[in-house]
Amino acid sequence: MRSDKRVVITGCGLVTSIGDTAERSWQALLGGASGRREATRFDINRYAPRFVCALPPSAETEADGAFPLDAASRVLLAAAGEALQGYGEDAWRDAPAYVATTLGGMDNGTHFYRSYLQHGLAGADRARLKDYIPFMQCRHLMQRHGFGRMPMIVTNACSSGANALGLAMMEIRQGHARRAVAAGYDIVSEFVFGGFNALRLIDPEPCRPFDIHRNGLTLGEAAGVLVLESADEAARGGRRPLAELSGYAGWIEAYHCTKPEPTGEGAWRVMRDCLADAGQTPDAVGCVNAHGTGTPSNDTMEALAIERLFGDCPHTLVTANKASVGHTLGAAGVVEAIFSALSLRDGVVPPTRHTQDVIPELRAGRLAPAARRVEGLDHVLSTSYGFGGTNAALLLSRWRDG
Amino acid sequence: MAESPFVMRIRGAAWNGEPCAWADRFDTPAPAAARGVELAYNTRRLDEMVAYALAASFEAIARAGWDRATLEAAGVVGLSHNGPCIYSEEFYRQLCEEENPALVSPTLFVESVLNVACTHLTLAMKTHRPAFALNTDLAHSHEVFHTLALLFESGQMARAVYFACDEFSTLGRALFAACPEFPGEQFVGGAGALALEAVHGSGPDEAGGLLLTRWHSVASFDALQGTLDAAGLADAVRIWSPWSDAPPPPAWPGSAAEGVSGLGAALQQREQGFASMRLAEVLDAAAQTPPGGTAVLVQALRGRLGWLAIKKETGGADAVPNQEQGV
Repeated sequence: MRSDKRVVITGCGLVTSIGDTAERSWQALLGGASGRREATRFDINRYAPRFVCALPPSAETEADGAFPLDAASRVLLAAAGEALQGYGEDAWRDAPAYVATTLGGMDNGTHFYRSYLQHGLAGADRARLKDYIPFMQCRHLMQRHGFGRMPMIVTNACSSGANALGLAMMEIRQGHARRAVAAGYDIVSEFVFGGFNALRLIDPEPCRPFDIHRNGLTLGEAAGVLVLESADEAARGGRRPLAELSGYAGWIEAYHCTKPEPTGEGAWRVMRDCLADAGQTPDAVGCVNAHGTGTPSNDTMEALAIERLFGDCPHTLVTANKASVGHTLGAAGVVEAIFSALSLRDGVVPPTRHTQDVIPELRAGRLAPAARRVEGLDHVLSTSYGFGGTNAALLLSRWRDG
Repeated sequence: MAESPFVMRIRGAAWNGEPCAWADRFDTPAPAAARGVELAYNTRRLDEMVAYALAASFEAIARAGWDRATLEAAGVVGLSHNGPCIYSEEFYRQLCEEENPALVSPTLFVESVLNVACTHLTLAMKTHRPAFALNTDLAHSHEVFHTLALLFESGQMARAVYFACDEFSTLGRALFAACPEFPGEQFVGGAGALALEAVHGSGPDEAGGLLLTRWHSVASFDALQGTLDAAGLADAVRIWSPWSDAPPPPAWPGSAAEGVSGLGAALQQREQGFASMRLAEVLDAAAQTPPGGTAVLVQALRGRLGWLAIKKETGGADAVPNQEQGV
């Protein structure tokens, strides 16, 4: 039941390991920067892999009130501060918000639990529990920016961000809101690092998406916030859209708890359905912003899916942002949507770092180690694939009036 | 004729978990002709909350009488506040105590991510429709009925299994017991589940179903009265939810309940189940409504009001009797 309402992006805020604003992160991405640094939130000496794409200290905002905010709240508020400015008083009172995360304030949770194991309940650091549950980050967002409704938190693993954008888009398309917010954030706690390490999914070397020698992912920290509006509302407010969010699709593989379906069937279907939702064909897509984690299973199946859909479109390029900013989990879908929107704004496809020997499943020439200017870049397809086979795809389009 | 505000129908409802006073709210009468598709599923090694969610969902599906084809075309929405905390605590305990953390079982990690219950249910259902694992503040649980309506309206799914589940670890029980918000309450782990289908436009009542509106947010009592009037619900029985921080509104004509009432009020200072209990409130509102009648569940929190309406279908001659209140 697709409506005719056009949904546009009019605000964005981004904090990543390579920049503390959207523009700084974008320019650093184009320049081939990497946010990879040694993890410091927990004792990394217990682990063989040591590196994450961690936020620099400058990326986190100050404490708020009597209690210091947890890192997840600080980074979400920093990104929101950039995205939500300039919309006027009471702009968010009736706006729905969908906030994506995989683990919320788990960093605080792990610190509490360690103190509990060491000192028992009586001696445990209970102050750490204040921001442990995911809705606490949302509550800080509400209080800081005057949201009248509690945001709905989306916890669909690595596709949470894309699904949050999809839900926000539905609000506007179905006429329930003229403006909506989609956000995503995650911090690398010992819980998630230990989990991915136990799964043998972390590469001790920098991750190399779609490389023959790839050996896993690099976890990353980030927060991204996007403001979606109906095109009419943006015009009324005199806001020129950054891009149009023209398509969304979700698909469940029902194959395995963690592994993707190896033929790429699920990835192909969600990309195809997303294009259908937008009323577009594969040859219109200038770039696929891939999930591209650097794991053996993801990249092979994703390459198969891309070639199945875009095999007749040699001009369709592929980029994988996780090589620079890491796999930011709940934030990934929003982070990569922002980079996709900036690609459309500037007509540039960002580089994919570290990849040297591209796998044969992916057509030669689609991926590049340096940024590429592309004439007529009109549509970027951004994909996310998560644990539980939760697949999501978004189509972002260059804004055209009329 | 005004468009009906009802956008979804409950075909089956079920509960699974620790014994509690609200489990009977999920005995939604649904005249399923035959037991639905069997979903044999090995629940060993699943976190407790996940096992509850699966069992409740399977039963709701069976009561709805959905066959395999129907099931494979249904989406999933799952809500929790605490998530699979028992397994997540165990995983992190092992991570802390194991000399080499790489040797900790990855299964514990996988089974403690927040969307694991949705994952297992979609695997069992073999559905490819979208699935959404959601989380909210405890007091905002009912708002998921807006998200469900949105998914139906957008064509993402025509049917859905919705479950609301929570569990309490030993540590969690100790921590919550120390919270002033839960004085002396017992914490009950479990899951409630609904088998839902989208309703489009107005139509005759069907036997054995409950119709739901979406969850609506309104800014004030005046706006609340106006929206209820506009939706044709001005005469509905009103159940004033206890999860409110405002005094009850003035009595409206036809209002059958004033002040704090409903399931939560009756159970205050006795039992607390978080997500599943909040779902039970919706069914409790229906239980307090005569066949063919409508109830409005209202909640006020932090200066915002919200409501949803439930209509008990009769299908004409096959009227469904009221449930006895077993609180």
